[in-house]
Amino acid sequence: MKKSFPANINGKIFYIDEDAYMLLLDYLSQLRATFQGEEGAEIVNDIESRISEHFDERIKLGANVITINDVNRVIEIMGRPEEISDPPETDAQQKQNEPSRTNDGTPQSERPQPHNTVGPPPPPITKRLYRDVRHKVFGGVIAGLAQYLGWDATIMRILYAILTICTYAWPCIIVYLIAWMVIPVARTPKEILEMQGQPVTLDNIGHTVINNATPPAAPVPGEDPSAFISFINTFFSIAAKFIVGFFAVIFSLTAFTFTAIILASIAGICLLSFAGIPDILEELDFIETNMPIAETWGYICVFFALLIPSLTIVRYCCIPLFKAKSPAMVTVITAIIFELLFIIGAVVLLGIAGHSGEHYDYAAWSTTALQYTAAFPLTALLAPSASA
Amino acid sequence: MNIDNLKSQMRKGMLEFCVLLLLRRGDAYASEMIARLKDAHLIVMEGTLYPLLTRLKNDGLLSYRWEESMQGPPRKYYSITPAGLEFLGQLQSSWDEISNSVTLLLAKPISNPSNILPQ
Repeated sequence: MKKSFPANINGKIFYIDEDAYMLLLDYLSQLRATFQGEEGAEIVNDIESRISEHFDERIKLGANVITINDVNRVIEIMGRPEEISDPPETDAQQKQNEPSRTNDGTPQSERPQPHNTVGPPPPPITKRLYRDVRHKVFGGVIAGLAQYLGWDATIMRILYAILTICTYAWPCIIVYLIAWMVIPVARTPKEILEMQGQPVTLDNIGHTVINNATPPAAPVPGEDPSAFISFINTFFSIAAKFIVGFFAVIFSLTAFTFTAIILASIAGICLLSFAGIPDILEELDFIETNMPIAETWGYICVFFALLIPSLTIVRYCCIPLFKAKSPAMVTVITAIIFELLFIIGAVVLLGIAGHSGEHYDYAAWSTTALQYTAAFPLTALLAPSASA
Repeated sequence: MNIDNLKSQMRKGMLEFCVLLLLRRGDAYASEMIARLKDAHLIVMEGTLYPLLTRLKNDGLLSYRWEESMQGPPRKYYSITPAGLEFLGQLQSSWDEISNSVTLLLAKPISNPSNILPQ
């Protein structure tokens, strides 16, 4: 069973399988990369309209849905980007390049091979850091890092486990959680190939699409794991399930509490903005009695208000360091909203705590500090996304 | 010397000439041209035609217009321009020369080859 949906190809609607759609999308984007500029766009549009005609024929012959085989057949008919790209300019360039190469005294073996001179060179291999959820234990961070570094995932897991024990657990756990949050998952065939450092060509994408349709039986494809390695991986998987379950309970409780706090903070702001602050504080007895609690939650809000910009910085550092992708707009907006809520929450809660008279200076200091940090994460979040 | 490479180079050189010849007979849209060229075994990859058409159009040898179609979205009808006709004339005369040369060489030798070789 496959997921399929309608797609508009040059003004005609076709029902197309998800994997077929992915492959077609990659084919067209590769064509766009090969044929650039305004006239390139025209060429790709013409090819797309021809593909539409081929699919139309297929439907007329009685097919209900466009499958990956249809797309592969059409790609074979139309030709791969490197096969159909315009030869005359590349030939002229090579003719210009060749005499200078010979004059430099370049050895014969370093000169381009004759069969390579047809079509442009293959796309450059870019290796990117992703989380490899197909071979994950927790979040696929180590599996992804192993793919990035070209190491064995199991060995990396053992090393990380040893490192975790040596550093009394917390530093490694926090680093892992941050990595989990900031490193994106390799979802599309293109991303999986980038993660493995394989060139993103149609052959490879087609291969990956087919491989993805069936879940991998072995932890690492193409390798036969020994009994010891599969035992270690099973051990990690079982341990992971316990730990994930434990943290899930803790996190859901925390999330619930925070939602309640945020709602209470919003209600508090509404109250404070309608009535005068001193009046309402004097009149409401419960604030007096709940003072330490308000203060504690206020500091927790400060902590999270500072955590969000820190995570943002780490996330944006990953872009140049590991060639990671920029986060989605939704993520950025959500982060900004949460940041604002935490700041408001902290200001309100510490304001309430501050009016009680106790720890007044401390709370005021935190409030001022927050006012400065409020400006900072917004610029940190907005500047890179605006430039991207 | 790679035989497949040479074959495809020969075909590629011919393709522009043949497309112009096709359009001299009458206007056509890309799929029609593909069908004709395939019948003549001139192209293997359909995609090859599109960059070629765009290049010829940019050089002013071809022009196109959009025409509504009963079977689907509007189609691009290509036609040859006066400049294209002139260009085609030049190509044709050089083709005639090549064709003559090749025909000469392809013809069965009249004299006994042993006469030419040193005794």
